[in-house]
Amino acid sequence: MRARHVTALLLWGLTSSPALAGPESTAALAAESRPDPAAPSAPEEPPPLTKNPALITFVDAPYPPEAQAAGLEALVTLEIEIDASGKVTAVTAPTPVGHGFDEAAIAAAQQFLFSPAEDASGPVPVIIQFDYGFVFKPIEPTATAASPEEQPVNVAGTLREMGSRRLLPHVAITVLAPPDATDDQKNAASEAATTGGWTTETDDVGAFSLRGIPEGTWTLRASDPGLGTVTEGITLTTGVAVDVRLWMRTVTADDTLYAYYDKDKNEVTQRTISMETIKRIPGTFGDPIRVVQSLPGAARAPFGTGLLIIRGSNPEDSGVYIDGIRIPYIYHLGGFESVINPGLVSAVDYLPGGFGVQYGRGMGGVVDVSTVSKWPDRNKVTWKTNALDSGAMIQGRFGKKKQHAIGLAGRRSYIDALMTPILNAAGADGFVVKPRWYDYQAKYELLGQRDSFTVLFFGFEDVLTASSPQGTAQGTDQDTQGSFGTSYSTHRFLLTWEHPFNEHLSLRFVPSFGRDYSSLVVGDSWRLFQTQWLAEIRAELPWVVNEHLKIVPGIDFIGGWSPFEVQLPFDPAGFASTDPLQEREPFTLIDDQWGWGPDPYLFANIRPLNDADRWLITPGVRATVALIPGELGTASVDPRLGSKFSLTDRWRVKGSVGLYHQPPQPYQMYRSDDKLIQLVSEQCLSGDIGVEADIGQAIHGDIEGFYKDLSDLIVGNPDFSSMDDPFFVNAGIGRAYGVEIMIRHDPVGNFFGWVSYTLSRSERRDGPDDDWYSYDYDQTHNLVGLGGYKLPWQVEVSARFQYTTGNPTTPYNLGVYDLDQDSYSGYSTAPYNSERLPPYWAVSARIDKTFTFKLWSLDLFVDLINLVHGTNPEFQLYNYDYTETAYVQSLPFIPSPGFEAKFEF
Amino acid sequence: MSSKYTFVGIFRNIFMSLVAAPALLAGCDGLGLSQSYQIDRLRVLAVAADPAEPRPGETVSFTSLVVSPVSTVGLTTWLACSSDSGYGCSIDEDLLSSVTGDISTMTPEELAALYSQLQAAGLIGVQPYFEPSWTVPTDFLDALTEDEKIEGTAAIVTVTAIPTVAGDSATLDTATENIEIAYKRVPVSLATTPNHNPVVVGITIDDVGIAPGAVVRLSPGQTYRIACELSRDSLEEYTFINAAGVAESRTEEPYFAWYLQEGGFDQSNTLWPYTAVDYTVPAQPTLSQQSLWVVVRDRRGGMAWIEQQWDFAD
Repeated sequence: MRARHVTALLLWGLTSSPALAGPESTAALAAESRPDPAAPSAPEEPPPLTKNPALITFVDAPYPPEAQAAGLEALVTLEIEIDASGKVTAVTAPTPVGHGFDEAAIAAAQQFLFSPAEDASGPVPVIIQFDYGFVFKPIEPTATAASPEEQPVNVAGTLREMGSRRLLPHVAITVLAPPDATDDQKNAASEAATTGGWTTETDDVGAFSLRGIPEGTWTLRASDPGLGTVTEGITLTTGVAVDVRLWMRTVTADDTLYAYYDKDKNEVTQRTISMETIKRIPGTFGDPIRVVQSLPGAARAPFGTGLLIIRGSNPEDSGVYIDGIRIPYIYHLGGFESVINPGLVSAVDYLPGGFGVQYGRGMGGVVDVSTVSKWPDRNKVTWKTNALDSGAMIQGRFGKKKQHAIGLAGRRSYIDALMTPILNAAGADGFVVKPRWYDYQAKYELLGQRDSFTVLFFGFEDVLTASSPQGTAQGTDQDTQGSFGTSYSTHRFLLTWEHPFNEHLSLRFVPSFGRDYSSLVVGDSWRLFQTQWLAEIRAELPWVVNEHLKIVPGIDFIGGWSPFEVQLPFDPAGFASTDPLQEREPFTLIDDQWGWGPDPYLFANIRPLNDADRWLITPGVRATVALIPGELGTASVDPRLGSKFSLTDRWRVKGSVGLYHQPPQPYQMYRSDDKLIQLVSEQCLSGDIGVEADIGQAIHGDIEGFYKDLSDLIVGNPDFSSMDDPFFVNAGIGRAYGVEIMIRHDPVGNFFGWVSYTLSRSERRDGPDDDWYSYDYDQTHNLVGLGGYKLPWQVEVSARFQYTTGNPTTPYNLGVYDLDQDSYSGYSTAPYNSERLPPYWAVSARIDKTFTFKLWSLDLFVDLINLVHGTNPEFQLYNYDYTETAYVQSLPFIPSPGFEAKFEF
Repeated sequence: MSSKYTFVGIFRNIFMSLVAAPALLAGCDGLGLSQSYQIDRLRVLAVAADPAEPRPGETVSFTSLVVSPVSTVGLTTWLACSSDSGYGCSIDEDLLSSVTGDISTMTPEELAALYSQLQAAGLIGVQPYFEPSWTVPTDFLDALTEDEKIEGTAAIVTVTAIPTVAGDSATLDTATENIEIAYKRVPVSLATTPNHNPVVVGITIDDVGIAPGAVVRLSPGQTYRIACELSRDSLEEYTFINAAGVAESRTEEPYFAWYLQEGGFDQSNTLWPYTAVDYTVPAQPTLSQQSLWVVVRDRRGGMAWIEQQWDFAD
């Protein structure tokens, strides 16, 4: 026998007193099937519904007299059996609420009419769950009652939302007898309820007024099925009008669903996460970029830092973009927080591979951070403090039509003030490390115009100083004594102009200008300074030919001038001799370098089927060019192809193949004699294929396999023997392959979460005659499970578990003492990275408690990082002569408390 | 040119190292790994060549500071080679394996014959039987130009110390982890101001000079200021021809490495002009008599050292 569908169809019906206008009815999503308890044992599992029943005819239930008299409201949960024609065959109320509500709801629901539910075989009978709501509203006064207009207004006021101070329109306001009411008051209230007096509704701006309320103490109630109920006592005196300010704590809207796969995007594998989800994930300090490490394809970074190790690539191989412009650093010192205030981030797109030709100059993944583009109607101020830093953000709109939107944000760390006691506690006194940073962002957007126009100005600076007391030796090198200092900073000014020429052709033009600066000073002898002035232009001219074809030519230009200064205590020409007895000669190099790369690209979105959304093919080609005028140049062509195909509404297949090139870095091209050597771009041939499935309305699955073939990798020159030889050559090759699996539950209702698993291998070979070895961050297994749940009382808890295979390591079994250098050199008889550290596992948790006050809201949180964890070695440390070894463990349990205060006005 | 065209990788690694610095700094102690300044096993702490900077054809003798607190040093072998050999010298193992016989029963003539065989294998000394010495080949600098000969080049001397099995002084402990291998460069040049080894005059404890060989009594738990005194002429002035071909006059800046058996230093390395450390005596010493060693390097290949012994008040 075939089982019947039993569907928890979350329908919501609303009715009120008969005197009011017709009922409101809204239908929400349907949930998955479950076995029919009424069916015989071991029934055949019914196939999933392809179409949910939809309510066609709603019948308004009469308000039960008993409930009307008592001013009661109720929500009756019904189970409705619907036959294959959509007709209701049976209705029950499994959890009666009494007062006549159940009978009224059942009688009304028996008259409902639905469109039939369907599975793959056609219309089928189902059982659904239906919530029928009764909202009390007093009966309108009869014609014989005293006209309210004849009486003076003696209760007036406004109703606002707590926290945001937003005025709430169209909410029922009623005067009720208080709990300790006298008999006269009860009678008066009952009469008013019968006649419909003493009740009103807030107007469009949240104001209300009531007339003719007798003197005495009363209860004023504001009630709305979607917002909640609030009551407040009032005392009235004859002839005196009372001004009442009511505040209502509303139900927080659910997080915006994160678009895991966005059909409008071109990328085959794109994971987009909403900020509301990100903020609740443990162990991230609420930072949007670090969440990427909980997604498939991203390896675990050492010491909880945020290095992007994506699909077996070096961290430098992956690119990070802010609104399409690549930035050199994404993390502040230590890698715990990214350089952009999370409050100004609207989404993070994570592209582990197979990305389109819009992105280039990298063989790893892409993380594209989008700054806020949906501006709030009201001005918003946020202050956030955590264990590392504090920052503020303000967003608002001004102008007659509020057409000017502005967001400002800034942060400053204070970890430098905390490091000294931490290091002292760790036994590291004598050498004090003090990191500090700041960042800022300012964004302007012109709204409501045909052309879109935004300005983004952002930057950051990180400074790290370290010093030891005078006379304390820092090692044995006389040129590295004293203080140590390093810094880097980035500033970018970015314009975005989007102009539609017509409905088919538009322009997106994003010029930017910026300055990067890096410095390193060690003692009195080491000084490295580099400034980089950069101009970048990203422009696209999308041409929508028709529903089935869009062609997008574009350019990703970057050019720059980089003056630099290098001072060393020795001549690098003699560096290779590694002779500590060699006389040192100070070396100074002051130079500058021009460079540019005008990478043009072209791609198309082809939708060959009549159902255009069903199949997307994205062919594209990009030229990767790196030029140093008058000296060197390297160019390559990267063809790429991606495709997504929907097998059904629930199943999709996807795949991509493409070529990726990454130009060499200037320092790799330098030779000791200050001449440049020609290196070509590193190359990656990448392919992936996968399947996506919507397992339920809120549950989705994804499995994807990938393979990357790496060639021309830049490695140290194995034949280096004199200073006439280059330090680096294009001799390395590599490969990375694996399978990524993810099952996620959308943030629907009270729960969100996902399970991510990556099985992969990444290997390198420094030359054709060398053996393969595991890449330094090769992690065979990487399992992440995380979830969050909203509890009552505005409390949310979340937890994250991670297990990864230990990183490769090379065992040393012999130390040889250099008497002149006063240090041991380690030697290994085992191949490089031939062993592995023990696996890593840890559980982190986070608790958020939100307090909503009249004028503001406060989120208190504590991030319990590594609440439970294993030994978790990050690397193997040897003693001075390599006869003893021990593991340096990852971060211990760190409770990181903080708060975030929000004001709206 | 991309935004990657910076020292990103270099700086990132620096930052990562500094992030890990607390763990590393704490790790040396916190991980329970032995410290370089604590002498708890066989160590070759210093080797001095005399002359410190020979000329081709000169014969160089070597002395060493080899300490072994838990066992005796059974055998110390010495090898010499040119610096072209890279890190340390290798031995002709085939030739060495042909050397047979019980050295303890050999006659002087047999020992002399054996030494000849060992020299042919690349050895320049086997202590305690043959003291190390090496005659610099007369053609050692022939590959250099006349100017380069002034600056010279280096020979490599490799020392391998093998302990005896604890409690059995007749049996060598050849386990790899118990053998100490060290190498040192010996500058060979025609310099007009050749280097000389520094000279350690003595030790002071809390500014009180200690007579050579005297055993000092210290109080457990106390901290003492210990200084190493060099002779006046230890800080040599020398000339150096820089890359521009200009002669520069420089003065040596010695570096001190401090070693002990129990207790702790405020720092185990000091750079000239800091010649003293604070030594804290353990509250409950396990050895009734202990030693401190100071090794001085002049950074031009010259070395010297001194040992100071002490015992403890009840």
